[in-house]
Amino acid sequence: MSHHLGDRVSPLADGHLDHDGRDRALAHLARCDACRREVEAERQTRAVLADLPPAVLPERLLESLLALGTTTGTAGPSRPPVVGRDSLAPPALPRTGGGGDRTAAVAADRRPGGGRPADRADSRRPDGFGAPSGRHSGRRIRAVAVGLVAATAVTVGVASMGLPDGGSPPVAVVPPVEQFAVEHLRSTGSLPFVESAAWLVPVDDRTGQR
Amino acid sequence: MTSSPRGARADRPDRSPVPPAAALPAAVLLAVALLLVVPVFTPATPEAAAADADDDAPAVGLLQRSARSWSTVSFTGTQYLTLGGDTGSAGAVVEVVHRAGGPTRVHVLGTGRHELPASATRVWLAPAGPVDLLVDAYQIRPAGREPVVGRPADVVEARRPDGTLAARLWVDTATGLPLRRELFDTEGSVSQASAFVDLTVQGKVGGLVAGMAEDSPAVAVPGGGGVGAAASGGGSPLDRDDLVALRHQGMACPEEIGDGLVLYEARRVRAGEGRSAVQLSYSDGLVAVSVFEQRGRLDGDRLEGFSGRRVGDGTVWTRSGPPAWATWSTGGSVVTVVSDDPALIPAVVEAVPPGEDGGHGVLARLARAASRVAGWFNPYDG
Repeated sequence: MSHHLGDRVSPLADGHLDHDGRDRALAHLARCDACRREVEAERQTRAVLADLPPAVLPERLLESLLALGTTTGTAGPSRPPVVGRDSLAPPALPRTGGGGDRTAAVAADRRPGGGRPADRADSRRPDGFGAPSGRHSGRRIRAVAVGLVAATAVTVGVASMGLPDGGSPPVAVVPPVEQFAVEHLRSTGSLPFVESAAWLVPVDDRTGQR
Repeated sequence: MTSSPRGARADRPDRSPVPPAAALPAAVLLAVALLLVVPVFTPATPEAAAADADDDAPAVGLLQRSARSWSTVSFTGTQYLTLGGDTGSAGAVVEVVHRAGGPTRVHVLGTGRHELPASATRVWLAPAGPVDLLVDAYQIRPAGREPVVGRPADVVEARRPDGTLAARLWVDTATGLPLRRELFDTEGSVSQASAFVDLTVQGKVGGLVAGMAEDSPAVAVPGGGGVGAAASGGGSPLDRDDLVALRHQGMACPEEIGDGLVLYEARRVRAGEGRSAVQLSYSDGLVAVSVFEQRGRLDGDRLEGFSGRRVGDGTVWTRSGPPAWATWSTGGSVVTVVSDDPALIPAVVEAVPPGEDGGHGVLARLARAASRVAGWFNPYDG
């Protein structure tokens, strides 16, 4: 593993090496920063070339993206990632609850009528024609809904008996993430075809601890 | 939901001819009926039988033999592991010394020696064994023969339900040892690769590898293992009863993450400063993710190297890997994820959504009670 990749850099970046050759090259890359940088540069160059000519972003799309940015704030300290690689950057997280729905709601409010449901508008008609199937069924539905809410509230109230109330406010926690990586590594030991990325977390040779 | 009850009630507050007292029995009956119907619509767990029908039996047999090989073969070797395919931007070279059915010593060159304590106590929680995780999640097919490190090997492919290639595994024809492994992303690019670049098979069961003492510590080894053969770490294993109790205390402990990551192991582990955490391990047989739940609220200001992003009612903090990390607060607990694949983290966020740092007070108590009631009608809870 002492010899550098040399003219094997391009075939490796292009995926043209056979399996044995690739195994040897990747094993070398795992230990050689210089060759790793060279391969990365080679692939980045290819990626840049592949991306030419640059796409022109429509102004309307740009405005939409900027508007999206205002709904997802970032905060807190940050430092450069351990490995500077796009595919290992924090992933796009799903918008649960607020984000996407809020955007949709704003869009709806901008529509004529403010996005108010049509059935709600109908229900305000003085003749009551907005009701689903007449006066009686509407009352029945209301009564059933009230009953359901009451039954659920009673059930939850009964269930809450005996549960701890949480006591004092929860303590502030900073998770020991490196230690958790060790535990993650241990947990994958029973999986014959899984190889954990936690192997790549540096270990302190003196203590054996990460 | 054909009309807005709120709107109707606001405009005609005094028109109801049905006295509330008369409506209540019918309402209660309907509520009970609805509660009885709920389990019918509870989504079922993935069916292993459907996947099995698509699998090739000899190929599955190869995988099972490969998983057993760690109990029957002693060897020394050098293996590389790289993430991100051919870029080689993150990788390690690992020297492995393994004794059949016994301990394995691993030295990760450049990062340090792994001397993790052995433990024979494991509680396997998944419905089926380690190989079955893979067989259930993917279609298993043979893909010919191709030598690795000069040894004849059988190639097995794992394909996603949509037919795209997820993994290719090279299994030593003579011993069953997994010699090479490649994972592919959904676009067909190699996302992980590992292989032996040097391997010396020492012998079958009971063969001692030179230089390895009988009491050598066992460690987890990349690509290796099998229940009982590989290492297990500190902490204590949790069984299904423990998980039911934890759920009643407000912890999420989901049975499955996303589409096919199955809970296979749970442990209580140390979490620093005299605290403990529950570790929940999920896998589909090719990748794994660990979810740690511990009591408290997340102190995001003291996190190092994390970036925060608002998601739903809370903030999710992420840090690039490998491995990828994410952490957030939810209902009086702090959830921390360690994942081999960063693409798995959103599925965990979806399964255990972030929330406010509450967890105490009347509302939190009522939330736990609601969760408890839901648990009564969930046939898969306990």
